Formats: sequence, C-alpha cells, structure tokens
Amino acid sequence: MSLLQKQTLDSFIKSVGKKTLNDYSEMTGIERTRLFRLFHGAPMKLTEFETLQSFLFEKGGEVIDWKHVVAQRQLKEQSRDQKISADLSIQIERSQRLSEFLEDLGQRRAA
Amino acid sequence: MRKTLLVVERIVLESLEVRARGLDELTEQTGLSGSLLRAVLHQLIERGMIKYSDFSYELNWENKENWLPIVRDRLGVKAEIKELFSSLVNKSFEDLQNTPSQHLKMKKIWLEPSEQVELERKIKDIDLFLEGIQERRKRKPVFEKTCGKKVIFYGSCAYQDLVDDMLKAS
Repeated sequence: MSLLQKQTLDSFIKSVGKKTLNDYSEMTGIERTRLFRLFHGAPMKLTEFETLQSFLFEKGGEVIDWKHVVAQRQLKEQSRDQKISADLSIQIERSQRLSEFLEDLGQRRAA
Repeated sequence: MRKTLLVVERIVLESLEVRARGLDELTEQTGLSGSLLRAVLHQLIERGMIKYSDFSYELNWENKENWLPIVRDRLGVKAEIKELFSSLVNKSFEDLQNTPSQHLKMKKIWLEPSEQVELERKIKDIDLFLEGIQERRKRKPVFEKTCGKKVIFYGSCAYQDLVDDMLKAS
C-alpha cells in the first residue's frame, strides 16, 4: 500500500473513529466492498482519493498534503539510491585497485 | 572519489604502526608475497602515507592530516569489514564437503528477555577479556606477527532487520 493511501485512510479513520464498513460507505459514497479492498491494499483510484480528501476537509479532519508525501518519498528513494551507489562505487573502486596490483604482479612475473 | 584503504594496504600500515621495519621484516609481518608487498609499499609512498629511509619503511607522521582521514574513512572501513567477513565465510565453507568448519558459527535463535540480558553479559565478558589482553600488551609487549592476529567478529541483530536491509538494497 502506498504511503499516501495509508496516510489518507489513517486520517479518515482518525477523523470518524472506528465504525463498520457500512458506516464508512454511507459517509463517503464509496462501496463497502471497494472500501474493504482499499483497506487491504488495493490501489486507490484518484477519484477515491479526492472523495476522501474532500470528506476530511469538510469534517475538519487532517487533509493529506500529497505534495509533501510525494517529495518525502522521492527524497527517501534518492537517498537509498545514493547509498547503494556509494557502496557500489566503493566496491568497484576497491576491486579495480586490487586487480591492478595483481595485474602488475602478473606482468612483472611474465617479464 | 577519494581512494579507500585496501585490506593489503591496511595490514602494512598496522605493521608499521608498531615501528619502522625493513622489507624482510615486513614480508614476515604481513605474509604478503615480496612483489605484492613492494607494489603496496610503492602505492603507500605515492599517497604520502609512509616513507622510506635508512633501508626501512615507516609511517609518514608529518603528513598524517592527509592520510589519517583515509585510514578512518567510515565507508572504507565498512567495505573492508565486508571483505574480511566474506573471506571468513568462504574459508569456513571451503573444506569438509559443505560442512562449515570451526572458523565460523552462526545461530538464529529466539531469546527470552532474560536470555537476551545474559547473552549481552557474556558478550561484554568477551569484550573485557579482549580489552584486557590489549592493555596487558601495552604494559608487557610480546612478539606479535600482524598477519598472525586473530580476526574476531561478534555481534547480533534481529533477523527482520537483516532481511529488511537486504530488501532495501535490492
């Protein structure tokens, strides 16, 4: 489940409290079975996201700042990629240098 | 990107940390073949980490601000530890028909809180034992061969944390 979807659903439940799926369905107009799937990880449609955001806005609940969530995720992925790149570059550099030592050796022995 | 210190370079520096040494002594201390050792020494001189005079090699302390950060570089040390540990795993599996030898033991075990506390106490005991040896060596040195030192790894982690880290990297 994406972070944005999870935060939206968490904010919705926090705003209305624990109720039945029927209750949630009546509040939001989203079908009960569809809500069940959303809570269990099915990807949320944009229209559903908009519905829940509007609901939260009207009821004074915590509206999700989606731009912030997306930016956070991008930063996290960049930092993970940078970390992996840094580790990988170091491994490659070390491997190359060691090979150079050993190649030099091979050449000297051959000569 | 700054070059990190290779294991073969570090073993030479560790040997010279004790005192200046000639080539024969360094060969004995490091266990490196003559030609590999000469190549490593040449590199270390080029990088300003060691110097050669009076038929001996010694650490270039006048230039330490330039090379100590390389020796202590976290990413470099991390890479070295991975390499050493990988070698330990390889050595453990290279003999006896796929039965790991006495070199390495790994256990996956559920620990109750009291057992976790006891394990931490025993690991602390190992720490104190090893630190005690290091202190004794300072007061009463013995003949040491750098390449003959035991490389000891110990540490533990929750299984999930290790799996999560592997997944993050893929």
